[in-house]
Amino acid sequence: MRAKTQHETHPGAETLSAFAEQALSKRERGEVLEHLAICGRCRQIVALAQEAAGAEVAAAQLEVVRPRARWRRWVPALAPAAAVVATVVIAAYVHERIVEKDAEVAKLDREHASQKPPISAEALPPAPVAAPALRHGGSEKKNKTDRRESAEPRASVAEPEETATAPPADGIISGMFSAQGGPTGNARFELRRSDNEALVPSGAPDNKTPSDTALVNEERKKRAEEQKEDRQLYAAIASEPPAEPAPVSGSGGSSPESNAEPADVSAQEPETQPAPASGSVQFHGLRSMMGVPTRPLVVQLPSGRPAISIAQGVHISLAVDRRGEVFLSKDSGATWEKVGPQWTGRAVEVRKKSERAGASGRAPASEALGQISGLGTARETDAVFELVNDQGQVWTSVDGKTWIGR
Amino acid sequence: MAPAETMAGLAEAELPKVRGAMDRRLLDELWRQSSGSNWGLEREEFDQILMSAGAAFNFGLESGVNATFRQQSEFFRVLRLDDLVLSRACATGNENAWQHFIAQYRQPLIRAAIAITKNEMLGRDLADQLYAELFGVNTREGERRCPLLSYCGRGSLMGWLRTTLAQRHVDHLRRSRRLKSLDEPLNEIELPATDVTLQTSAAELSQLERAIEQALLKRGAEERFLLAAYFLDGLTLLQIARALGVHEATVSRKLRRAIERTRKQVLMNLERSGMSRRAAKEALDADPRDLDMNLKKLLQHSQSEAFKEQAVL
Repeated sequence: MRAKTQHETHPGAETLSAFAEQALSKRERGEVLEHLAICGRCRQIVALAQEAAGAEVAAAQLEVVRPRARWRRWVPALAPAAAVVATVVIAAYVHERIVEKDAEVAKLDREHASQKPPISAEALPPAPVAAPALRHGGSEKKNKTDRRESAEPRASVAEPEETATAPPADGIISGMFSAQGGPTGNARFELRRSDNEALVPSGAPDNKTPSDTALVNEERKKRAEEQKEDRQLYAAIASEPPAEPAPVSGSGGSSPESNAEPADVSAQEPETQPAPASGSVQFHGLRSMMGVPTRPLVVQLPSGRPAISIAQGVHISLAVDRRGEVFLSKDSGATWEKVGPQWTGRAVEVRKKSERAGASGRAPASEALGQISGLGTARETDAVFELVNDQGQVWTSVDGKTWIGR
Repeated sequence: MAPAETMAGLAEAELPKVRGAMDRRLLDELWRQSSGSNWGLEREEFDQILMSAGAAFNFGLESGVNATFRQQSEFFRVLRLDDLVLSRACATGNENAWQHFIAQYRQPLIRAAIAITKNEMLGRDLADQLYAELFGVNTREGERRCPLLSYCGRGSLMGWLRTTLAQRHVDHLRRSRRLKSLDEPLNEIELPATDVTLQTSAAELSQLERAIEQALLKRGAEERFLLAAYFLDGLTLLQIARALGVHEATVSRKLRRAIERTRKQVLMNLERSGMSRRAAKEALDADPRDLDMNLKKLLQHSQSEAFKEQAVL
């Protein structure tokens, strides 16, 4: 059909639509293309129509995606619920583990009590240490349990460390004591990172097989010798007058082992801090006393031997190692220098004696807290340090370098 | 009977004994394929619809050529029969068909109109206007005129609706452009370059104009369409690609080739007119504003006959 007017020469909507949809024959397509080449109007129509088709496709895709978007609306509501469920599951798991461990600890306690030789009452320090000793008996067994479990792939690494450093539930002071070695010598923890075990009780009796009996006997002999040496230290410390501080001063030296590996001990006495037999001592400041975890101060003496006593002032710190050598630090324990011997015998303890505190040398608890946590006041700069030898004689010093016999 | 078997008995070049006659078995098969009975169409009505569609396009053949049964079959088998019977049922006022049409096409129609006008209000107006026409508001000589009667099922009904919307919109824009007020500020007219030293001589410009004209006239329909759509209409490659139903990269490649070929042809034409190669290249560097020629007219000049199909609307 021939077109008579200019308008009628344009292809109709159906032809243009079919052209865009590739529905025309080759001959018809060529004709439409020929027309489109010369007709701006039809080019514009085809372009607009196809643009609208594109928009329609996009809208259809959006509708396809919409169901998923509806489902995603529940995600914000499900997230808290999932968190609650996860918390409950974790709490149940932790509770179950604690119950299991308590049962094992109780069992091991009973076994240990039957195997462990009684310690003479003379060698034991006074009463305050008794409770921690018991406590550490349990912790020790607990750690032993962990050690045994460490062979399994799922053994927890962090838990023993928490056991050693976490404050106990029976009060701040007992919490400080709990982490320190008891006179039984079994309360000391060795830090063993190499075998993925945070803390291992060093003095705990092992469940040896019969084939290991000879080796165990040799070890026990060595330990017995060391215990004998340590008891002498306890005796020296215990011979201090009652007015003197260090109610647990000898506890650190009571460790049966002379192991150079670091130990984890919480500070308990602000003025005089008898260190355990290990070379690594952790100070817990105000935060730890308030039950807040702190970063421990680790003492590494140049001699490589463990410190048995540490005293810390505002500016200086003093430490005595197992051989009686005294070391001085002016940077809060980062570096230590040896102090030349100006006393007789073997130094077994250093302690700080505040001028204001009087002859007892025991500062109030609040002041002690400030000293340990580094929050010391101006008055604390007047502190005088005391050094005690193995015969109970005392030397005093202000700067830690010069000692005068008293 | 299977479609292959239906046509197997027919000779390839067999012509219907009566002009316009159609294969009954094919019509039976197409009737079964269509959903005409759902919209209350009768079989005779369906046959009439197919006959009119075939006649409108002469089964896709050139005018005057008598289609064989096979050619008829090829033409009918690519028709959108479902869309076709729905549109005719709507045109005849079938209520079920209209409900189906509204449910399926009303919202897409509005979205398409908005996309075409790029304005929600104008788009809704355009869609409502077409919808009213489709419903048969317009009458001619007391008879309801429904544009759906012009739909023959060659493309999708939605495509037809979109193209119809675009037609209305473009025609409306062109009409309003002609009615544009003279008070409105005119666009700045770019003046020709005034640097005399750089200007190509008038003789060279004249040669260049002729060379360009001849080069453009020798371009094929597709290349001229690409050049016109890209440079005159300012369409993007994506828009051109959608119009041609090819990939955007194909359009880019074809457009680049068209430009290169045109340039080579211009150079060749200049050399034929007596210019050296170097002079021809220098002539191509002339300022386009110095050329006194209408590229739009050149591009839209068709060597072939004008489009033969009559717009039904």
